[in-house]
Amino acid sequence: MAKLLNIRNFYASYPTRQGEVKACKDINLKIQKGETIGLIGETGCGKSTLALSILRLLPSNSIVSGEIIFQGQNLLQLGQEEIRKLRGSQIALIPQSSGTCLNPVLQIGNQIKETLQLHQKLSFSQAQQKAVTMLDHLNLPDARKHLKYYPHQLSGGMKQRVLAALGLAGNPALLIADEPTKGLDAVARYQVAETLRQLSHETGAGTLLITHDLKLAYYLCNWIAVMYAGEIIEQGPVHEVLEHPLHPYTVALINSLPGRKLTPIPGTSPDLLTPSTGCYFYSRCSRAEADCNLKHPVMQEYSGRQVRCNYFASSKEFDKNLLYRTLQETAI
Amino acid sequence: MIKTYYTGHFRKQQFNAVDGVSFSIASGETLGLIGESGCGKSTLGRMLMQLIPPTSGQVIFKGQDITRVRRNELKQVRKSMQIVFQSPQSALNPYIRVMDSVCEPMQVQGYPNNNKEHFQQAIKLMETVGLDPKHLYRYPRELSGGQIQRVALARVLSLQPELIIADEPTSMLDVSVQAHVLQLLRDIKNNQGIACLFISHDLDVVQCMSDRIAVMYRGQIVELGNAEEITRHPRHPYTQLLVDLFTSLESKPATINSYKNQCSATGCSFYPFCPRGDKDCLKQPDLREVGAGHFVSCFKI
Repeated sequence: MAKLLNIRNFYASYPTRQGEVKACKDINLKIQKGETIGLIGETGCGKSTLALSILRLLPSNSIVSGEIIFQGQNLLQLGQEEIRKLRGSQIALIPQSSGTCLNPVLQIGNQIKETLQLHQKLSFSQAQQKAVTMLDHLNLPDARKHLKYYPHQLSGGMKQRVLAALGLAGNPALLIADEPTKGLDAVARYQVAETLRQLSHETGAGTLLITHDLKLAYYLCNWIAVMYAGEIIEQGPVHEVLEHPLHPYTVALINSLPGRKLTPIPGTSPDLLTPSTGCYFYSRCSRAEADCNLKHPVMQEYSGRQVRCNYFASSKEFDKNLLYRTLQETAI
Repeated sequence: MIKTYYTGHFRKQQFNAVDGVSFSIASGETLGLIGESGCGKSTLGRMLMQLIPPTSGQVIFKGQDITRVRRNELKQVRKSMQIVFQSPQSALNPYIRVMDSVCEPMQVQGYPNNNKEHFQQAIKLMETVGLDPKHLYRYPRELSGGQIQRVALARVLSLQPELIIADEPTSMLDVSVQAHVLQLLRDIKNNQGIACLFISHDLDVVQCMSDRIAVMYRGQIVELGNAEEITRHPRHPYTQLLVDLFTSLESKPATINSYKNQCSATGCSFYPFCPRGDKDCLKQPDLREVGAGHFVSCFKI
């Protein structure tokens, strides 16, 4: 499959009065056409920073380095006007909070039509037609009537679907969905999931799905990347990573699900201002050894997956026994 | 023994947000309340606290109908009944320090009766919820979502309540923080024997927190029973849909196709989406007992 987005050695940081907050460190991620990539991790680990830097929407004082190559051009080196042409039409974002991202004083129909007219160069009546078909497609009942509604007249699930429609209006080649199911109930969550799945099947667009919902990621994604303190600490095919996690953080994250053991991860996430020289997960890790606090782990390749953990780096060959032991510990 | 019993209607523009709901919570018990957004879960929770006056019906708390008590008596009742809100950021006053937020209920209720004791109590509470007492001197904006929710819990516990109403306390938190808060809430309940009404739309969360579960759909309780029983053997078609959706997103439930947000005028509110529905369902079903302590409102069982 053709490569759509390739992020190489990406770093992002925000200068503050206390020092530089390193929000993303050494990120390497690829998205192919028609593929859905899940990005999971706790609050403040840099997921949204990564998403926003793909769209070049970071605050102007942020410091970025590395390469984000989208369809052959490096997004980080494009001019303002060039990147503006890509936004919405080539790369679209479904933002996180549906409550605040729609204009409260415009009817949702006008908001969708505006996007359609701008990006697809449709006439007013064509845009009207298209908006109705899109909302119908997203299982919003009685779409024609809903176009006249204002955001406050819609439920959370409906607003989320309207935002999805806005994101899809430009027929983007890459869709970034930032927690599209947060705060939604079971049925609305299913409908949003179904929409995203159909989209990648029908249009062949790539999707970057940022979520806390591991079940949703399991269902939608082909590939998953786990972030912790600004780094990707594990990535691989979704079924392998979530069923047989290798990194202790992934194991802990899965064990903290209510459907599993509900064991919280001890401690708090590290300060991104003054990162330690060793492994960032050291103080919370159940498997940590003395030199984990000194040596920062590097990304290791294991049969198509990548893990950033000293525990795996110590054995050069991929140790079957080790994997077996990990599997027993997680007991999924 | 605490007994909360509620029947009634809540009418606004001819719309029954909560429509003839009755249930009871025994002391020390946790009742999970689950349902889609907008089905009246939060309205019900707030009506129990008398934050919203019910149109009709009774809330009987420890043998006293609190819908009819006077304002100053209600203050006494609220001492032993506390609520945790969905969004902790908006539940705490951003302009005052955490300490003042935690001490405020104690000052209002005059319990214990001097400020020095309030302060000592606040330190103890912070330790109970697993926060460093130095956080007492901070403002809510300096704390993370999980920490603020713990502060909210500390404030709720300050009056040693007998019933906590938890209105989606973790829906704004991420997975690992959610586990912290849920486990804390569970420990506190078990150690202090506090009864709890746990409101959520996440079946996994409700299942691991509750002894019994009530499933709500469009203002009515459609199924009520033991937590194990509800999640293992759901009987009402709506509960079955919920359980299906939470077990796996892969297996497409049959009912989801026809699932659209329409309202039926009379009869069973789930009828338009129900795979089993027929003419009988145009009448209003009542909760019937189908097993030990297991109630379902459906004609087709």
